Amino acid sequence: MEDEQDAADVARVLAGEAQRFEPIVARWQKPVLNLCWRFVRDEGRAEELAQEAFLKCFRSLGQWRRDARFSTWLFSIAISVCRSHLRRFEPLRDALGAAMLEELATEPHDERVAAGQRAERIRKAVADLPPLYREPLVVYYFHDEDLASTARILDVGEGTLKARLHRAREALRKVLKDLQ
Amino acid sequence: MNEIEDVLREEREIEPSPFFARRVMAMIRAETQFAPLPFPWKRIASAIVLLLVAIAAGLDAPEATLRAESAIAVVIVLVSIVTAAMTVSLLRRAR
Repeated sequence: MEDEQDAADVARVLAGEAQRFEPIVARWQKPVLNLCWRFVRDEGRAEELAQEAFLKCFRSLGQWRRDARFSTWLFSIAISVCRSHLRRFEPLRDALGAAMLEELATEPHDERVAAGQRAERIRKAVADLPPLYREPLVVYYFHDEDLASTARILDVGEGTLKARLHRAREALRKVLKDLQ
Repeated sequence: MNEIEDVLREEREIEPSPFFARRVMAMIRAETQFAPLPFPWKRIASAIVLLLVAIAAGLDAPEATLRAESAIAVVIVLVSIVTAAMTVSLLRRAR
């Protein structure tokens, strides 16, 4: 149903009715925003990136090939926007992240706080993975562990995706072991 | 490893701000306000025809004066075509 609505709205936008892009934004704003948020973990920044993704999508709407679902194409645009952003701000984020990890490792805490901090440490470790491993991991869990959809969004084969997910988990395990 | 998977599965969801869609649409409206400038193919085509006529006239001209006049016409038309193309390209970039 969503696919049909997307296709119909896109056709009307391409025919000159730019306002028909609004239902598309309304339908996909939350998933796109949450995808961006999983990459940058900052709500304000995620909103800016999601806006940029929609604008980019609007500009290149004519390039959407109907053989892929509209949402798959839109998510891949959002990932590319996040990738560019992270490439620009990676050094600053690394410095802040290292300080945060150090703080988390030294603070005394009770069990519940410890669990929360451990979760935070895992998320930080994911954010620190090289893009080649971070992106599959983030998109795979964002897409409820749907291997086929994740492979389509990242434009890689399922075998490649499985290998990258495996290496990402291994890298995470190693980082978290080193932190203990 | 289960702990890592659990954390990744249990991500909290965030909500878009109330004006998110409105802001996106405002950006899109601003962008579509200026319709893309069409390239003046018709004018360029007529200029090229004119150019060919001038060249042909110059080649057929019996006198040196006529040939020179035809060459000037060719240069003028060529300069016009290049100027038109550059103007359109600059305007498109400015937008």
